[in-house]
Amino acid sequence: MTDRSQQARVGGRVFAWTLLCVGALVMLLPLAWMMCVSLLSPEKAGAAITAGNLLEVFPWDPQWQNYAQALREMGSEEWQGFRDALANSVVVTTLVCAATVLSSSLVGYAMARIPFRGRRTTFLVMLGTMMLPGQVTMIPLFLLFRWLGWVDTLLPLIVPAFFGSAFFVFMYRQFIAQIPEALLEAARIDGMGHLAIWWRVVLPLCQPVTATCAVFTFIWTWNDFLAPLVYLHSDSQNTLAVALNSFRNQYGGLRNVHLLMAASVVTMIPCILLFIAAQKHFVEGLTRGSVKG
Amino acid sequence: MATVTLSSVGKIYEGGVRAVRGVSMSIADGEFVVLVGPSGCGKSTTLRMIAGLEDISEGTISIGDRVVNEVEPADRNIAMVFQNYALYPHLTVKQNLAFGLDRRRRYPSRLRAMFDGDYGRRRLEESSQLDARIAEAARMLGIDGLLRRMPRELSGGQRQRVAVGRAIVRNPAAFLFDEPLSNLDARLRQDMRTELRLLHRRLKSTMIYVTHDQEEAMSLADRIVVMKDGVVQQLGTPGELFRTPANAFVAGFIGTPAMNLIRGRVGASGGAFKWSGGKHSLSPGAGAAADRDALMGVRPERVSIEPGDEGTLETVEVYGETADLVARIGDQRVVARIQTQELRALREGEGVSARFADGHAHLFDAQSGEAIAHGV
Repeated sequence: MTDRSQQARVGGRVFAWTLLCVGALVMLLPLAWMMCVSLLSPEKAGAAITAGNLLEVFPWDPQWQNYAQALREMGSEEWQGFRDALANSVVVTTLVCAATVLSSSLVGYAMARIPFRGRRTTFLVMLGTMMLPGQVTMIPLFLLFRWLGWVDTLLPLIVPAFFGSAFFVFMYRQFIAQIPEALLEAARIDGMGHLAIWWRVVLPLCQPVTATCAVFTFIWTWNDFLAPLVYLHSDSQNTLAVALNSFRNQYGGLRNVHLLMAASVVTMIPCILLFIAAQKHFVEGLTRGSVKG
Repeated sequence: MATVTLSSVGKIYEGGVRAVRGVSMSIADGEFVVLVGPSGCGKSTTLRMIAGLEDISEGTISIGDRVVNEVEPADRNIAMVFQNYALYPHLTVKQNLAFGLDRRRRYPSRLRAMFDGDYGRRRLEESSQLDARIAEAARMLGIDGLLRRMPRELSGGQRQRVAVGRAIVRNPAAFLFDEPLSNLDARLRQDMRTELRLLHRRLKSTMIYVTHDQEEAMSLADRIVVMKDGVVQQLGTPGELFRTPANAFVAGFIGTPAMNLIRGRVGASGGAFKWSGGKHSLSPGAGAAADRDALMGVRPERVSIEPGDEGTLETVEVYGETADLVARIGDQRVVARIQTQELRALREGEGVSARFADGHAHLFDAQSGEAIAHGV
């Protein structure tokens, strides 16, 4: 009986591992393809994207100089295009991350802990905005930012983040609602107002949600293509995601696929590093509240 | 240190629910007062109104000479110890102890610093004073070895000490305790109770303490306030409450095991109490209760249960030195507490009778529950 149950357990584990390995392979395949193509010569890369044989894609003779060339040729000026795009991406992503964390947690705190008339309705309306597709608001927002004279500046990408994100406000609110009331009351007796309670007690306790919020916001903002494409027009204002587009010709065809792939790999590095660094908090944040603590 | 005075204090929640009504009391400087009562009696709400964590719907609360109804909790100069400790989990024990003081110190200092070249020296001075106060409180509570630890690394008892320490370092006008020992196990609770009593003796501060445990109240308090349904039932020393309870509720609530409250009728002359188990002679003081339905209260220590035919012995509960005999006589339950060595060969289910010691009964009005006579 014990042997049989042990066999069943081993069998189950083998099945689960096999399934996970296949899943991981499916996820990693495009990444591996991208890295392989980034190391091919221009001719081979051109042939590889139409080839059905994976062996042809493997870089038997890796062309490491592709990476330097890709960064040099990004944008219209040598090196300058990459430097501008990198700086813009870093500025936008950093500010958007900080702004989203601060504003979402502040609104989440208010929604969870400050009783005011219409709190529930406000919260529901805010959640309702999550159901609205981004395309619906794109044109009105563009008109608004044009009226403000912000088109072709980084402001349309950064400023909205200071007004919070409905999804993260929701996450913060749920988390903050679980913080024991006595802790906040102790802080009140210790002489703190709402802002100080939020900054000195609530925000440090929200670490898992903050990690989740920061990682997601970083990845979304770093990889965002549409908003920069809509609002930024000059080369010097481009972010990395838009600058990658300089490797395509005006008809949408690929000019130098090996360079595009090399630049794409470089662009991905910060996201991967951040995910690895914040993984522990991040996973905790995602599973928070799923079991009774 | 200060007096705390409540005048006709009431609390009405949204929706008209009245949690506290007409609470008036004056707590002297340095007094240890315990609010006790069953769940939902309004004791915690009263404490929270004193702390400023609940708005006061009616009446006034004064700390010292100042009416504090509209004063923010931080400005009432009180410290509160919560049931679940409420330690900041992201700060070390030392930072937890310093938190309230730090808030009080830093902001005026920074403001001053804009105009004051002496800021650095003052800050250092303040810092060393702060450290000294923390060290003193930590030593007093025996937590000086834990200052660098995080709250999650402490046991329940240690956390409670830190919570008390956080209150002590602030040197408040009054300490408020909201069921601070209820999360501890029985043994630790006993130890902490003793320590709190010693702490009060050493600090000589005004302390207001909430608990649902009457034993805790009896052992800690200079005076006890018994509450029920938001109303004060009786305010007095533990001895007064035990010997002369104001009504049947207080009589039943104070004392372990609870006082027997037996339904019956006092005879026309007031000389005897008739109940389903027979007749009990009353002393002359019972005249006021003559010829009326009443509840007779007798402490279990003053009851003896003997073999007989008036009822049956339901259970025998032995607690080491003492034992409780629970008998059903007619439709009423009678509990007797005896020394275990006096436990005769009484078996559960056997026929018994109950007898009450002369001159130790309390009489309460059957309808209102108000006390009519004590020690009759």
